[in-house]
Amino acid sequence: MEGEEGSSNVTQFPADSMCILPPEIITEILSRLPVKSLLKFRSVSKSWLALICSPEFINTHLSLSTNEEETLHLIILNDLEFGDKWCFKGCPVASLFNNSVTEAVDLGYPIEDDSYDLHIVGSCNELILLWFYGIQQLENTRICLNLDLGGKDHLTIPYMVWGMMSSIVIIR
Amino acid sequence: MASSSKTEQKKMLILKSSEEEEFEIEESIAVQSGTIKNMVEDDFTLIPLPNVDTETLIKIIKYMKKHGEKTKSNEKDIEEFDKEFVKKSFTELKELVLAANYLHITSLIDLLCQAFADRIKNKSVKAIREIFGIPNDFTPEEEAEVYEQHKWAHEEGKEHIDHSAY
Repeated sequence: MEGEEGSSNVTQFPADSMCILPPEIITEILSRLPVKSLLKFRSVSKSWLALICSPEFINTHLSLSTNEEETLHLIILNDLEFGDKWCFKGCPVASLFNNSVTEAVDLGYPIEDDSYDLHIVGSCNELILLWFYGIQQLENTRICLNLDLGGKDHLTIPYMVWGMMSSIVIIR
Repeated sequence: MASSSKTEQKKMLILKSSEEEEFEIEESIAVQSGTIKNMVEDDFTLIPLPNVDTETLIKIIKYMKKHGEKTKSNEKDIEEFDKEFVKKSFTELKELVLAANYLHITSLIDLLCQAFADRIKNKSVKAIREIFGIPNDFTPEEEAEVYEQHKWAHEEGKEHIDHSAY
Protein backbone atom coordinates (compact mmCIF):
# COMPACT_ATOMS: atom_id res chain seq x y z
CA MET A 1 0.00 0.00 0.00
CA GLU A 2 1.40 3.36 -0.99
CA GLY A 3 2.45 5.65 1.75
CA GLU A 4 1.85 2.94 4.29
CA GLU A 5 5.43 1.69 4.52
CA GLY A 6 6.17 0.62 8.04
CA SER A 7 2.54 0.87 9.15
CA SER A 8 1.50 -1.87 11.50
CA ASN A 9 -1.40 -2.66 9.20
CA VAL A 10 0.90 -3.87 6.45
CA THR A 11 2.37 -7.26 7.13
CA GLN A 12 4.91 -8.99 4.97
CA PHE A 13 4.07 -12.63 4.52
CA PRO A 14 6.64 -15.32 3.76
CA ALA A 15 6.34 -16.80 0.30
CA ASP A 16 4.74 -20.08 1.31
CA SER A 17 1.80 -18.51 3.05
CA MET A 18 0.91 -16.64 -0.11
CA CYS A 19 -0.91 -19.84 -1.02
CA ILE A 20 -4.29 -18.14 -0.99
CA LEU A 21 -7.45 -20.15 -0.47
CA PRO A 22 -10.40 -19.29 -2.72
CA PRO A 23 -13.61 -17.89 -1.17
CA GLU A 24 -15.56 -21.15 -1.49
CA ILE A 25 -13.01 -22.94 0.69
CA ILE A 26 -12.88 -20.11 3.21
CA THR A 27 -16.67 -20.37 3.38
CA GLU A 28 -16.49 -24.12 3.98
CA ILE A 29 -14.05 -23.58 6.81
CA LEU A 30 -15.95 -20.71 8.41
CA SER A 31 -19.21 -22.65 8.22
CA ARG A 32 -17.74 -25.12 10.66
CA LEU A 33 -16.72 -22.59 13.28
CA PRO A 34 -18.59 -21.85 16.49
CA VAL A 35 -20.44 -18.55 16.57
CA LYS A 36 -18.05 -16.93 19.00
CA SER A 37 -15.08 -17.51 16.71
CA LEU A 38 -17.02 -16.14 13.76
CA LEU A 39 -17.85 -12.93 15.58
CA LYS A 40 -14.20 -12.48 16.42
CA PHE A 41 -13.05 -13.20 12.88
CA ARG A 42 -15.17 -10.42 11.47
CA SER A 43 -12.15 -8.30 12.34
CA VAL A 44 -9.82 -10.21 10.02
CA SER A 45 -10.55 -8.22 6.90
CA LYS A 46 -13.34 -6.44 5.08
CA SER A 47 -14.08 -9.41 2.89
CA TRP A 48 -14.32 -11.73 5.89
CA LEU A 49 -16.62 -9.20 7.58
CA ALA A 50 -18.86 -9.07 4.53
CA LEU A 51 -18.89 -12.85 4.23
CA ILE A 52 -19.67 -13.59 7.87
CA CYS A 53 -22.47 -11.02 8.00
CA SER A 54 -24.11 -12.11 4.76
CA PRO A 55 -27.52 -13.80 5.06
CA GLU A 56 -26.39 -16.57 2.71
CA PHE A 57 -23.51 -17.44 4.98
CA ILE A 58 -25.65 -17.27 8.10
CA ASN A 59 -28.05 -19.77 6.54
CA THR A 60 -25.22 -22.08 5.52
CA HIS A 61 -23.75 -21.92 8.99
CA LEU A 62 -27.10 -22.63 10.57
CA SER A 63 -27.68 -25.69 8.47
CA LEU A 64 -24.30 -27.11 9.49
CA SER A 65 -24.54 -26.34 13.17
CA THR A 66 -25.60 -29.25 15.22
CA ASN A 67 -23.40 -28.66 18.19
CA GLU A 68 -25.45 -29.01 21.35
CA GLU A 69 -22.93 -27.11 23.40
CA GLU A 70 -23.62 -24.03 21.40
CA THR A 71 -27.25 -23.91 22.39
CA LEU A 72 -27.84 -21.16 24.84
CA HIS A 73 -30.82 -19.72 26.47
CA LEU A 74 -30.79 -16.00 26.24
CA ILE A 75 -31.67 -14.51 29.56
CA ILE A 76 -32.69 -10.95 29.63
CA LEU A 77 -32.33 -9.57 33.06
CA ASN A 78 -33.84 -6.46 34.38
CA ASP A 79 -31.02 -5.43 36.60
CA LEU A 80 -32.03 -2.80 39.08
CA GLU A 81 -28.39 -2.13 39.81
CA PHE A 82 -28.20 -0.43 36.47
CA GLY A 83 -31.27 1.61 37.07
CA ASP A 84 -33.93 -0.51 35.43
CA LYS A 85 -31.87 -1.31 32.37
CA TRP A 86 -31.82 -4.59 30.51
CA CYS A 87 -28.89 -7.00 30.71
CA PHE A 88 -28.27 -9.94 28.45
CA LYS A 89 -26.81 -13.21 29.54
CA GLY A 90 -26.68 -16.60 27.98
CA CYS A 91 -26.30 -19.99 29.54
CA PRO A 92 -26.52 -23.63 28.46
CA VAL A 93 -29.88 -25.31 28.32
CA ALA A 94 -29.04 -28.07 30.75
CA SER A 95 -28.05 -25.81 33.58
CA LEU A 96 -31.43 -24.19 33.62
CA PHE A 97 -33.03 -27.46 34.52
CA ASN A 98 -30.55 -28.46 37.15
CA ASN A 99 -30.55 -26.78 40.47
CA SER A 100 -26.85 -26.20 40.16
CA VAL A 101 -25.54 -22.70 39.93
CA THR A 102 -26.06 -21.43 36.48
CA GLU A 103 -22.99 -20.06 34.85
CA ALA A 104 -24.18 -17.38 32.59
CA VAL A 105 -22.02 -15.98 29.85
CA ASP A 106 -22.20 -12.26 30.11
CA LEU A 107 -23.05 -10.96 26.71
CA GLY A 108 -21.63 -7.70 27.80
CA TYR A 109 -24.35 -5.19 28.06
CA PRO A 110 -26.16 -3.15 30.36
CA ILE A 111 -27.83 -1.07 27.80
CA GLU A 112 -26.67 2.46 28.11
CA ASP A 113 -27.90 4.06 25.00
CA ASP A 114 -31.63 4.32 24.49
CA SER A 115 -31.41 5.94 21.11
CA TYR A 116 -31.19 2.68 19.13
CA ASP A 117 -34.06 0.45 18.30
CA LEU A 118 -33.86 -3.28 18.51
CA HIS A 119 -36.21 -5.47 16.62
CA ILE A 120 -36.28 -9.04 17.75
CA VAL A 121 -36.60 -10.37 14.27
CA GLY A 122 -37.29 -13.84 15.55
CA SER A 123 -35.98 -17.31 15.84
CA CYS A 124 -35.23 -19.52 12.98
CA ASN A 125 -33.77 -22.98 13.56
CA GLU A 126 -32.81 -22.07 17.10
CA LEU A 127 -30.97 -18.99 16.07
CA ILE A 128 -32.33 -15.76 17.27
CA LEU A 129 -31.04 -12.68 15.56
CA LEU A 130 -31.42 -9.39 17.21
CA TRP A 131 -30.79 -6.70 14.71
CA PHE A 132 -29.21 -3.43 15.40
CA TYR A 133 -31.55 -1.08 13.71
CA GLY A 134 -30.32 -0.04 10.32
CA ILE A 135 -27.66 -2.70 9.86
CA GLN A 136 -29.36 -5.69 8.32
CA GLN A 137 -32.61 -7.49 7.76
CA LEU A 138 -33.10 -11.19 7.78
CA GLU A 139 -35.66 -12.39 5.28
CA ASN A 140 -36.91 -15.81 6.27
CA THR A 141 -37.59 -15.67 9.98
CA ARG A 142 -40.59 -16.43 12.07
CA ILE A 143 -41.43 -14.63 15.23
CA CYS A 144 -42.47 -17.06 17.89
CA LEU A 145 -41.68 -15.49 21.15
CA ASN A 146 -43.48 -15.94 24.35
CA LEU A 147 -42.57 -12.91 26.27
CA ASP A 148 -44.19 -10.64 28.67
CA LEU A 149 -42.41 -7.40 28.20
CA GLY A 150 -44.56 -5.58 30.63
CA GLY A 151 -46.05 -3.31 28.06
CA LYS A 152 -42.96 -2.71 25.99
CA ASP A 153 -43.10 -4.19 22.57
CA HIS A 154 -39.47 -3.81 21.82
CA LEU A 155 -36.19 -3.63 23.65
CA THR A 156 -33.45 -1.15 23.10
CA ILE A 157 -29.89 -2.36 22.75
CA PRO A 158 -26.77 -0.78 21.28
CA TYR A 159 -25.12 -3.90 19.86
CA MET A 160 -25.92 -6.74 17.58
CA VAL A 161 -26.10 -9.98 19.48
CA TRP A 162 -25.82 -13.22 17.66
CA GLY A 163 -25.97 -16.45 19.53
CA MET A 164 -27.46 -19.88 19.37
CA MET A 165 -30.57 -19.83 21.43
CA SER A 166 -33.61 -21.91 21.88
CA SER A 167 -35.67 -19.54 23.93
CA ILE A 168 -35.75 -16.18 25.58
CA VAL A 169 -36.45 -16.01 29.24
CA ILE A 170 -37.10 -12.79 31.01
CA ILE A 171 -36.24 -12.68 34.64
CA ARG A 172 -37.19 -9.79 36.83
CA MET B 1 -17.33 -55.95 -23.38
CA ALA B 2 -18.68 -57.31 -20.16
CA SER B 3 -16.25 -59.59 -18.47
CA SER B 4 -17.47 -62.10 -15.95
CA SER B 5 -14.05 -63.52 -15.24
CA LYS B 6 -13.19 -63.84 -11.58
CA THR B 7 -9.72 -62.55 -12.19
CA GLU B 8 -10.95 -59.49 -14.00
CA GLN B 9 -8.12 -57.13 -14.66
CA LYS B 10 -8.55 -53.84 -12.91
CA LYS B 11 -8.31 -50.86 -15.12
CA MET B 12 -5.34 -48.69 -14.24
CA LEU B 13 -4.84 -45.00 -14.75
CA ILE B 14 -1.74 -42.86 -14.65
CA LEU B 15 -1.82 -39.61 -12.74
CA LYS B 16 0.84 -37.07 -13.63
CA SER B 17 1.86 -34.36 -11.19
CA SER B 18 2.83 -30.81 -12.09
CA GLU B 19 6.44 -31.95 -11.84
CA GLU B 20 5.76 -34.61 -14.50
CA GLU B 21 6.03 -37.55 -12.13
CA GLU B 22 3.68 -40.40 -12.90
CA PHE B 23 1.72 -42.61 -10.53
CA GLU B 24 -0.30 -45.68 -11.39
CA ILE B 25 -3.62 -46.10 -9.66
CA GLU B 26 -6.73 -48.25 -10.07
CA GLU B 27 -9.49 -46.44 -11.90
CA SER B 28 -12.07 -47.57 -9.35
CA ILE B 29 -10.11 -45.77 -6.65
CA ALA B 30 -9.21 -42.70 -8.67
CA VAL B 31 -12.80 -41.88 -9.53
CA GLN B 32 -13.37 -40.74 -5.96
CA SER B 33 -12.14 -37.57 -7.61
CA GLY B 34 -14.94 -35.98 -9.62
CA THR B 35 -12.40 -34.30 -11.87
CA ILE B 36 -10.66 -37.57 -12.69
CA LYS B 37 -14.01 -39.31 -13.16
CA ASN B 38 -14.96 -36.76 -15.83
CA MET B 39 -11.70 -37.26 -17.66
CA VAL B 40 -12.11 -41.02 -17.54
CA GLU B 41 -15.55 -40.64 -19.09
CA ASP B 42 -13.82 -38.75 -21.87
CA ASP B 43 -11.55 -41.77 -22.34
CA PHE B 44 -8.37 -40.46 -20.75
CA THR B 45 -6.06 -42.98 -19.12
CA LEU B 46 -3.18 -40.61 -18.59
CA ILE B 47 -4.45 -37.84 -16.36
CA PRO B 48 -2.29 -34.72 -16.22
CA LEU B 49 -2.74 -32.73 -13.03
CA PRO B 50 -0.82 -29.50 -13.59
CA ASN B 51 -2.25 -27.97 -10.41
CA VAL B 52 -0.99 -30.66 -8.06
CA ASP B 53 2.66 -31.08 -7.10
CA THR B 54 4.21 -34.49 -6.49
CA GLU B 55 4.30 -34.33 -2.72
CA THR B 56 0.64 -33.37 -2.50
CA LEU B 57 -0.39 -35.93 -5.10
CA ILE B 58 1.27 -38.70 -3.14
CA LYS B 59 -0.77 -37.75 -0.07
CA ILE B 60 -3.97 -37.55 -2.08
CA ILE B 61 -3.38 -40.98 -3.59
CA LYS B 62 -2.75 -42.37 -0.12
CA TYR B 63 -6.08 -40.89 1.02
CA MET B 64 -8.00 -42.24 -1.95
CA LYS B 65 -6.49 -45.71 -1.58
CA LYS B 66 -7.46 -45.85 2.07
CA HIS B 67 -10.98 -44.61 1.42
CA GLY B 68 -11.27 -46.82 -1.62
CA GLU B 69 -11.09 -49.87 0.59
CA LYS B 70 -13.87 -48.71 2.89
CA THR B 71 -16.08 -51.49 4.17
CA LYS B 72 -18.56 -51.71 7.06
CA SER B 73 -15.96 -53.32 9.25
CA ASN B 74 -13.07 -50.91 8.91
CA GLU B 75 -14.82 -47.64 9.72
CA LYS B 76 -12.84 -47.16 12.93
CA ASP B 77 -9.66 -47.84 11.05
CA ILE B 78 -10.47 -45.16 8.49
CA GLU B 79 -11.41 -42.69 11.24
CA GLU B 80 -7.97 -43.21 12.78
CA PHE B 81 -6.36 -42.74 9.41
CA ASP B 82 -8.24 -39.48 8.86
CA LYS B 83 -7.23 -38.19 12.29
CA GLU B 84 -3.58 -38.85 11.54
CA PHE B 85 -3.91 -37.59 8.00
CA VAL B 86 -4.74 -34.04 9.07
CA LYS B 87 -1.87 -33.76 11.53
CA LYS B 88 0.08 -31.59 9.18
CA SER B 89 1.30 -28.02 9.03
CA PHE B 90 -1.04 -25.30 7.81
CA THR B 91 1.07 -24.97 4.68
CA GLU B 92 0.58 -28.64 3.85
CA LEU B 93 -3.12 -28.47 4.69
CA LYS B 94 -3.54 -25.50 2.37
CA GLU B 95 -1.83 -27.32 -0.49
CA LEU B 96 -4.01 -30.35 0.19
CA VAL B 97 -7.31 -28.51 0.33
CA LEU B 98 -6.51 -26.65 -2.89
CA ALA B 99 -5.73 -29.96 -4.58
CA ALA B 100 -8.79 -31.67 -3.11
CA ASN B 101 -10.91 -28.79 -4.33
CA TYR B 102 -9.42 -28.97 -7.83
CA LEU B 103 -9.90 -32.73 -7.89
CA HIS B 104 -13.44 -32.56 -6.45
CA ILE B 105 -12.89 -35.10 -3.72
CA THR B 106 -15.80 -34.14 -1.49
CA SER B 107 -15.00 -36.25 1.55
CA LEU B 108 -11.43 -34.97 1.61
CA ILE B 109 -12.53 -31.34 1.26
CA ASP B 110 -14.89 -31.84 4.23
CA LEU B 111 -12.18 -33.53 6.28
CA LEU B 112 -9.64 -30.79 5.61
CA CYS B 113 -12.03 -27.90 6.19
CA GLN B 114 -13.13 -29.42 9.48
CA ALA B 115 -9.47 -29.78 10.47
CA PHE B 116 -8.87 -26.13 9.66
CA ALA B 117 -11.92 -25.07 11.64
CA ASP B 118 -10.90 -27.14 14.66
CA ARG B 119 -7.44 -25.66 14.66
CA ILE B 120 -8.25 -22.03 14.09
CA LYS B 121 -11.28 -21.51 16.29
CA ASN B 122 -9.33 -20.21 19.27
CA LYS B 123 -6.76 -18.30 17.29
CA SER B 124 -6.32 -14.57 17.46
CA VAL B 125 -7.26 -12.37 14.52
CA LYS B 126 -3.58 -11.67 13.82
CA ALA B 127 -2.79 -15.37 13.67
CA ILE B 128 -5.65 -15.92 11.23
CA ARG B 129 -4.30 -13.23 8.92
CA GLU B 130 -0.88 -14.85 8.99
CA ILE B 131 -2.17 -18.37 8.40
CA PHE B 132 -4.35 -17.41 5.46
CA GLY B 133 -2.11 -14.65 4.08
CA ILE B 134 -4.79 -12.00 4.44
CA PRO B 135 -3.74 -8.36 4.67
CA ASN B 136 -5.63 -6.16 7.08
CA ASP B 137 -7.59 -3.70 4.97
CA PHE B 138 -9.34 -1.97 7.83
CA THR B 139 -8.27 1.47 8.95
CA PRO B 140 -7.46 1.53 12.66
CA GLU B 141 -10.76 3.32 13.28
CA GLU B 142 -12.79 0.77 11.30
CA GLU B 143 -11.06 -2.08 13.03
CA ALA B 144 -11.76 -0.58 16.44
CA GLU B 145 -15.42 -0.24 15.54
CA VAL B 146 -15.81 -3.87 14.48
CA TYR B 147 -13.89 -5.00 17.53
CA GLU B 148 -16.05 -2.91 19.82
CA GLN B 149 -19.25 -4.43 18.51
CA HIS B 150 -18.25 -7.80 19.83
CA LYS B 151 -15.64 -7.18 22.44
CA TRP B 152 -16.96 -10.08 24.46
CA ALA B 153 -16.06 -12.52 21.71
CA HIS B 154 -12.44 -11.39 21.92
CA GLU B 155 -12.09 -11.63 25.66
CA GLU B 156 -9.95 -14.34 27.14
CA GLY B 157 -12.49 -15.45 29.70
CA LYS B 158 -12.16 -19.15 30.14
CA GLU B 159 -10.68 -19.72 26.73
CA HIS B 160 -7.06 -19.32 25.98
CA ILE B 161 -6.49 -17.11 22.98
CA ASP B 162 -4.04 -18.77 20.64
CA HIS B 163 -1.71 -16.33 18.91
CA SER B 164 0.42 -18.88 17.15
CA ALA B 165 0.14 -19.24 13.44
CA TYR B 166 0.94 -22.97 13.44
